[in-house]
Amino acid sequence: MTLAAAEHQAVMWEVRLREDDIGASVLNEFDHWRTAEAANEQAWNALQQRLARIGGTRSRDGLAMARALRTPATERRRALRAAFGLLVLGCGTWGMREGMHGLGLDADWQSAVGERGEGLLADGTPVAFDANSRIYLAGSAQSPRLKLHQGQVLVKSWPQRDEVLTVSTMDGAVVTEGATFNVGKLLERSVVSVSRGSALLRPQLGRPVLVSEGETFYFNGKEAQQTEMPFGAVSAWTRGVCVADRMPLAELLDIFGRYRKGLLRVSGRAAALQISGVFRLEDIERALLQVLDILPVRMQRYGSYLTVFSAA
Amino acid sequence: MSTVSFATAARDQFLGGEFRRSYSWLTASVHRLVGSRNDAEDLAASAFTELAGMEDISHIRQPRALLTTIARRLTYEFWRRRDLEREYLEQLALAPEFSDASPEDICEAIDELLRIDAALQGISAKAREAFILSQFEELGYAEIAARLDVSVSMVRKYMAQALTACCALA
Repeated sequence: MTLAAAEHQAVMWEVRLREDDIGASVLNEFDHWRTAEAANEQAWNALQQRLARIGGTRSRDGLAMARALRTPATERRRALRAAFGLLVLGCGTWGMREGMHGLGLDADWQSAVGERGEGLLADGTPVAFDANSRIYLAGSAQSPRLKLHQGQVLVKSWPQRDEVLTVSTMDGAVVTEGATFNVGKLLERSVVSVSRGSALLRPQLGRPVLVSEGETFYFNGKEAQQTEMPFGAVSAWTRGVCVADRMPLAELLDIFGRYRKGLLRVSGRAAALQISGVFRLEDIERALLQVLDILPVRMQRYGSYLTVFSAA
Repeated sequence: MSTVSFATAARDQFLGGEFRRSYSWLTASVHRLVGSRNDAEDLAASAFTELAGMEDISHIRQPRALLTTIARRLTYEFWRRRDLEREYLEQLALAPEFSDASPEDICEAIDELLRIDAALQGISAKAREAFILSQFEELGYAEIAARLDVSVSMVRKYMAQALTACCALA
């Protein structure tokens, strides 16, 4: 903040006059400054008026003011950043794609928080999808395309044939001529795991990768990376369990959010902490306590809606 | 002349449309945070009032993002007011000599408290504490320096920062 010269000088005089021991010469000097120019006198009086209004030891509630001013503000700020950060993200989506589509509310298949779903494709192919999933159907009956907006989908069987089945997320597409496989949209990446058969994974901008029986890959728009997670662990959600192997905490909480209403947020460096464990999705409250046991984080609740994890 | 009235009409149309589209959305968003329907409506309405008060709204591409930003600040101020109020009243309750304080006095004191609090937000925690110790507990610089574990010349700098911040008070 920049002040006019006289105001700045007034501040510096106030600082000086609060010194523990001021001699007569300093006071003389001060009087000299104050009377030297009308602007000085004015600036000085204005500052004194402000300080008088603020109060102090001479005002009888000075101590209560002091105590109140020491009330920490950081937790409030952090909670708001966490809560409204998500709202702004939502706004961005809203701006780009008008209305319902941005939130996936017009999806062909959608499941509510805490409720898994099942469906059949036009040719009778059975499909299961995770709680809070949004799936759009496109393509033809012979060669369907599933766009996974959010959540996870398990294609229980697509027997070998000439036509292909495609499941895509914003990170890339998985194409198969015959496979049983699982595709999930995670917080900042996607995952594909093949139980039987094989599939071709095409990241949005990267090189295609063949995913063979028993293999699992994480992928984002640019690249795919193989992981040792077995199919059974990736598709454990079908049995109400989440298996995490060195998973970023933010990603795990995003998965928990499919089973629990309200916002689960993680702030700052806690977001990148990696966690491993087996969590029951039917009892998220307990799973949250498990997280507290495993990682050096603390959890704070703001009402029933917002829960924030931060580094301990 | 005609351009002015056209601009005004477009502005009213924009604000009216945005209000219809976003008021209940914003109220619901804030409601989850503050817990009370009435408070949420107040905060959402204040956010719209600020939006309506903006000089140039023709360049606003994402009104909801802007409303969210305004609502965040208002919610913070709302929470902060409640926190400060609670702490202040608790302290007053401990001091019997305040039993005669009128509600108007208390309200005024809390308003002032919020203004100081806002002014002191821009400086460091130590500078803030140095000012509180000097202003409200009347400690000397040597004592403040010892408490904050800094040099006396640092305390002077803190005091200059805090007093400069106070000059911004209306």
